[in-house]
Amino acid sequence: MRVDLRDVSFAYEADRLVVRDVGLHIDTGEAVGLIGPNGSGKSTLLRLVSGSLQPDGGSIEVGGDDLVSLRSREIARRLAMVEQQRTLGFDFTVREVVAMGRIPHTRRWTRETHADRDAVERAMHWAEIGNLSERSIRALSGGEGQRVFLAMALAQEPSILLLDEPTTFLDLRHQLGFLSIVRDRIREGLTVLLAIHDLTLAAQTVDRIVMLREGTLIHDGSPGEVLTQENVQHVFGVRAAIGRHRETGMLYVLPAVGDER
Amino acid sequence: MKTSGRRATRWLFVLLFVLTLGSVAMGIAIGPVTVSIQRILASLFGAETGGLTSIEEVIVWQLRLPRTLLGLLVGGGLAVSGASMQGLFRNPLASPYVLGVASGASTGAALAILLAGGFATLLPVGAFVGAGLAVLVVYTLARPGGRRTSIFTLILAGVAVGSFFSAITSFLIFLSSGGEKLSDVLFWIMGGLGRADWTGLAILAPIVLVCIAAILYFARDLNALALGEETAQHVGVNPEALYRWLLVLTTILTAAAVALAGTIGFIGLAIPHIVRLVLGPDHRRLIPASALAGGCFLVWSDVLARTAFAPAELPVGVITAFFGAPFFLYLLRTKGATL
Repeated sequence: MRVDLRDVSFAYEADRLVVRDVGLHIDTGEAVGLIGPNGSGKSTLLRLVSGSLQPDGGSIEVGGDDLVSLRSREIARRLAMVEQQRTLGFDFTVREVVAMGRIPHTRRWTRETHADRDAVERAMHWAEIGNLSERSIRALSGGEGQRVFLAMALAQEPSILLLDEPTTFLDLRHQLGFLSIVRDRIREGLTVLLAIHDLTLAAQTVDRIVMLREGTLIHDGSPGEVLTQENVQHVFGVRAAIGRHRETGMLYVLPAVGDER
Repeated sequence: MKTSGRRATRWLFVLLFVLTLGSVAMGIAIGPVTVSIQRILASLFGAETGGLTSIEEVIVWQLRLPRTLLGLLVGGGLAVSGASMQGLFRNPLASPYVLGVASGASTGAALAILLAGGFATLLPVGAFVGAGLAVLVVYTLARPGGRRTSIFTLILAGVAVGSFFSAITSFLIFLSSGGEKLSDVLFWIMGGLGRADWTGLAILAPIVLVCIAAILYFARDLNALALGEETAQHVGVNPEALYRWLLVLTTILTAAAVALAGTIGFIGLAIPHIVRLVLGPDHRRLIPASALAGGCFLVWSDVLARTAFAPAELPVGVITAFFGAPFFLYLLRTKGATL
């Protein structure tokens, strides 16, 4: 499903634009990484695309329909989102949480259908949490917890998956594990928009990178095109060595420590 | 695991239902004058012999049955209010009274007793209006300039407005300078089912049942809200609309219950927790189970309240807290504090 942003602007307070005239077109099946320093508008942009915020200027279309014209339930059938962290209000089991992803697809007062059950099981299988099914979400590690919320989003059977720095609080192994699950879904044709801080992981996960600076989209292209020394220096104010792994050819970004001020 | 869990849930509901019927039977039979269930049934089915005497007829049908049904409705209503408030605020300390319903109702009731003491029907009306007014003030104060409602502002405003109304009530009690009216006010505040009659029930029953059904309608939205407002939004739930609806429904439900039975404590706070510890946090099960459990609990408490020191009657709030709190603590210790 396509996503089209045209001249999108947004301000939390009057006169302070957090997102400024952003134009972005994502094709069906494309995986786009959103990078930029803190406060550059990545999360705000994701919240605009998810429909949590309404743009002050411009328009956002999802699958050819303006978000403003869609009911929240319809938006939830097309888009799912995974955030950095969540509140865990009560002691739900993992399966109960994943099953909440079915809310936009089911009517009230009805029992879980076969289709619901299949979607939940499949999502739990993809996210590799089948064995945690009856555990309490409060008893999980950070890495397991994020996979549960990824499974909840996948159980929603969205056409587009939005990820807002989902690996920020995870250790290295869990970061890689989480992103490899996302990569599997990308390979199966899911459209993904991923905000992420780690530039190397971004380059390894998506095939297109969009760079934001102070709410403006300033670079858009393949990881090799966008992640250059000049761009990283200009946007993050950090000198970095950028290279490719000798054997795998993977692009990596190595910031020069001690030089950041 | 899953199917056995579902079956266990079904049995628990069957058990609760049987327990509810049993509670009604017990509520009718037990009292200073014990009337056997057999004779009540005999009289009910018009048997020639072995039925009730005319005094027993009055005791059973005009006193105990309305009183027992009031217990079911009030207990169930308060428990569902509590479950709804705890879900809405994602806070285990929330109770039906968190937004000042009890304080507002007390002020309204005190005014009604002191100004129109001889006119008994004004009391529930005064309490209901006072409760609604308190919540209206809280809600208006917590929305400066019509911006989004923040949970914390709501709770704080509830505490402030509650204290304000309590102050007015205390002042009214001070003005009453002792006497019968004073004990009326205090007894009402402590709560009890002594005012039960068929007229009151006819008004209360539809309100309670409709409100519980409507709150149940929002059960899965409350589930999603437990993962935060943003997450709820991502699965298509509008948190702002949810707050508005549930605050209105919970307020009407609590105010109606309190108007007839006074500010009975503990049920609204603890019953949802106890049910959650047994059945889990899914509001689609929690709400109906709380309704039944809260109803049963209040009926039993009332039986105890009117028999323990018969012919004198204890305020039922004393019983609910005295026996409920230790049981609640016991559950907390044994089931692990997973609130």
